[in-house]
Amino acid sequence: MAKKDDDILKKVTGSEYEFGFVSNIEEEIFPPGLNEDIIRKISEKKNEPKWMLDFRLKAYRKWKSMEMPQWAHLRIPEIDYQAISYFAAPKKPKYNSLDEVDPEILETFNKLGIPLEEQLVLAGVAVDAIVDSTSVKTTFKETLSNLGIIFCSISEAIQDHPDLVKKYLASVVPVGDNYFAALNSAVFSDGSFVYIPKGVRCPMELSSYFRINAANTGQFERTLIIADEGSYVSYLEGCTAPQRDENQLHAAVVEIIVHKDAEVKYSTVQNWYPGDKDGKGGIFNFVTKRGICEGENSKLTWAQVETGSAITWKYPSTILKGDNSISEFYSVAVTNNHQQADTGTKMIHIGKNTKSHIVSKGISAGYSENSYRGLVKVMKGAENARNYSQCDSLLMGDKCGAHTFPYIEVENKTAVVEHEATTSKVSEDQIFYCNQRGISTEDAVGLIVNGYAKEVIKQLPMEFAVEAQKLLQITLEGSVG
Amino acid sequence: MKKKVEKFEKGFLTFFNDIKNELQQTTHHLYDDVANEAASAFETGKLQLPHKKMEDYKYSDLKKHLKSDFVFYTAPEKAKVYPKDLFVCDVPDLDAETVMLINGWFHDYDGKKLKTTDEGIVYGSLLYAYENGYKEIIDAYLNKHLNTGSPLVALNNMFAQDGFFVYVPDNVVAQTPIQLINLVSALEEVFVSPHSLIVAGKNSQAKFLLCEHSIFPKYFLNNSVMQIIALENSHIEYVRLQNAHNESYQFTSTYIHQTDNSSVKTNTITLHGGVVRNNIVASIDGKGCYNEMYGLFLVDKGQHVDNWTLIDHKQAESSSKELFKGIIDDYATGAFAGKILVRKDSQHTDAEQTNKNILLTSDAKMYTKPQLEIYADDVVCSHGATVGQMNEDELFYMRQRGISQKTARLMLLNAFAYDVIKDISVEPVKNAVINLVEKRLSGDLTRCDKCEIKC
Repeated sequence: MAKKDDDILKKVTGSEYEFGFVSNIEEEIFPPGLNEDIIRKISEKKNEPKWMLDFRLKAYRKWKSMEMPQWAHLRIPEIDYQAISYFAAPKKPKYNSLDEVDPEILETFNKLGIPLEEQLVLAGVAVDAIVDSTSVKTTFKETLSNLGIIFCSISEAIQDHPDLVKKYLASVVPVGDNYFAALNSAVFSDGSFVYIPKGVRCPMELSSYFRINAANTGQFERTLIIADEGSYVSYLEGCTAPQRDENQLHAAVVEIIVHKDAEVKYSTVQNWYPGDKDGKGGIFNFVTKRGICEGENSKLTWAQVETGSAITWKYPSTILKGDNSISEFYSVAVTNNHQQADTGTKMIHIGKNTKSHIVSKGISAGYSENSYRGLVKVMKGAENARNYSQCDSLLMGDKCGAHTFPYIEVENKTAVVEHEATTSKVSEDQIFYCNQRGISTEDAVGLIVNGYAKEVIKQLPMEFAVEAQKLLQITLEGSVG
Repeated sequence: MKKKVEKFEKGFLTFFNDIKNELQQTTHHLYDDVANEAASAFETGKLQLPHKKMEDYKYSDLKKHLKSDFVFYTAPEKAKVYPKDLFVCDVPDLDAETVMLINGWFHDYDGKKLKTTDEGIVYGSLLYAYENGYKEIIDAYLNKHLNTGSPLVALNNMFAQDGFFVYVPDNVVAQTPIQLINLVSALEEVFVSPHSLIVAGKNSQAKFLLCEHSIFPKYFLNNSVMQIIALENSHIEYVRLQNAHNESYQFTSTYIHQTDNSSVKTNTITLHGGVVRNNIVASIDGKGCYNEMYGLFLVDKGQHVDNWTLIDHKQAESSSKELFKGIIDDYATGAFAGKILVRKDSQHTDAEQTNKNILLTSDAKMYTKPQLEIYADDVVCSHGATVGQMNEDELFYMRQRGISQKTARLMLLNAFAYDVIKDISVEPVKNAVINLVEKRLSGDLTRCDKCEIKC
């Protein structure tokens, strides 16, 4: 039994990263290094107005005065920020139709299993495809613009909708919020911008495909989503990255503003290259994601499946400012081999009758470390705030670690805050039960893990749920001893 | 001898150098190495006085409270205090052996510095025991199973005075509890630093009650260390009753070390005491051990109570159960941090942690940080934490049956607190704690009528 399990374990943990390939597109890359000149060059390259340059410079100066945070339960190798190139763009950035798009890029997407055409026709998903830094193609723009929805790259938004960008950029994540957010504010290359006008329900799932491509380029995405009064949008973010030996830095910032009666659903499937099975290479994923439920009765839902990256440092958070606002956080984080993840959420209750719900499922295998870190804070004025958090960890193997670090800060007596956490392994009884019924151990583990993560996966939109389930299967099947 | 340390936060290192020789002579050079080591760690900045930028002291900015001047006794002073007269109210029917520290020094009110109970337990002054036959045991355990890198332990070691020493020889099973009284009694703002050691030999059983009190309403700082060593198959129960006045700063560090098949039950009850920080660490270094860690705190006015606990499962097949409860009234603050650490290969660990808190007013604050850090896969670990208020339905149910709002609230709060107290096995202590908690919740325990202590 043990021998067989070992074999399965080897087979599964030994499987190489499926999406590791490099597409050879001609790229323009800045020399490595970070200084004010580079920032001026980035800004100039993107033809940005002066206020944007000032914004970047302010962030850069702030960043210089900061130190990299050390509090996470992670071992982060020293990062030489001067060895990273901060700008890479495909040389021909504009296309009018699919035919003009570099066939290699199209091929890349095909390999990923999400061909643009198919998505356009079948799934009805508008894709804002990003290869490295510059937005290559934005689809379905017209359909959306008829409804008054703005869905474009943030560079375009800076040119075309400066008022909106000026008003909301860095309003949720201030430039000096943390080390990586400051870095991102200084050098962000591109990202998505979404504005849903009053009372509009976005008819399709908006999706953006990020992909790190060129070697040694950090990817600094910036996403800004604004849902005006009474609107609704569901936004999908998914990542895959080609196999590399050098560590690559990814420091993104996502800001979401939800106005009165509006609802935003933000889903992520993160599958950056996790490094090989000896822990060599892999992406450093240091992300700041934060939303604010600005108006009354607003709602923000985070759903994430994290299977990739060598190191993940990510805490999608919500500020519940409007009365009666609601936020939910659903997360599955899987780590294998030498992966490390320190992830969780923050729920800051400011408004009255605000509610938050946290469900976090961690699965660790191999030599990995998986931590949940979360904060629930109820401010003095947040009457009748309610929070329920549940964090479960599943351990597969005796070399990995699963940790839970919740913080609960309550300053109002009417608040009810509950936190529960358990740690366990896939029990032999469960496997035995499945075996008895003719289900192989490998399939049984798949079943059990998927059942364990189901509460989260069912929150994802359909296509993502399928992808997420596949990812879980690939990463973990049979990893039980 | 009385010495004064000016502006403690800034002056404690200079003060240490001033009194070093005198103090180390009085303490028979028992702490010289650790004290000097701690001092140099503070000097070089390797250690800092606890402040809120440190993760472990995030909710308790202790440094802020150490700005004023304190008086320190470098040697014992004569005092006429008889514990039996003083502590009638706390544990009225307790038949216990009693020893006492006053301002950090051993107080031999009956002229004996080391006594042996009928059942065979040796107890008394640590310094005296060291000089009189127990050097080997003390050398083997003192400062051995604790974290000298903790700033509070380091600070205690620098200024370590006397402390309790209890030795339960192998196979001694004692029914009579030992009552340890740590009393602060000075007309000035005093700073005390006792360091105590309890060693329970193989197959032994013993029960302890530690009472912490103050007599005069002057502010004081009590930074104490208690080490409990539970050897193979020993069973220890330890109740700490903190009931000093609201102007005090009480920092305590309790280090429990368990070996095979031992069980240790601790109860930390905080009724009063301005700024309280309890560090409780249980290191389970054996198989088949059981650790029960209970705590209850009732805070009101501007008090602050922070319980920081760590249960470190170093070996396989042990269990632990942790329960801490807090009731926070007025504009007081409560904090709890509990970590369960299951090290690699500590398979079949069963650990359970619960933290429940009730906020009574809108100005009360509670911060809780339950943590699990797990490196073994075949374990069952869970933790739960809640912060909330009394159940409206339960209140309604009682009021329907003619119970007044006030009584109903009291009943509910008492029931809430009872969960923690109910497992104390020494009946008089349990009843006394229940009584004290009841009085405390109904607001009667501001001035005690039976004794001189103004707790």
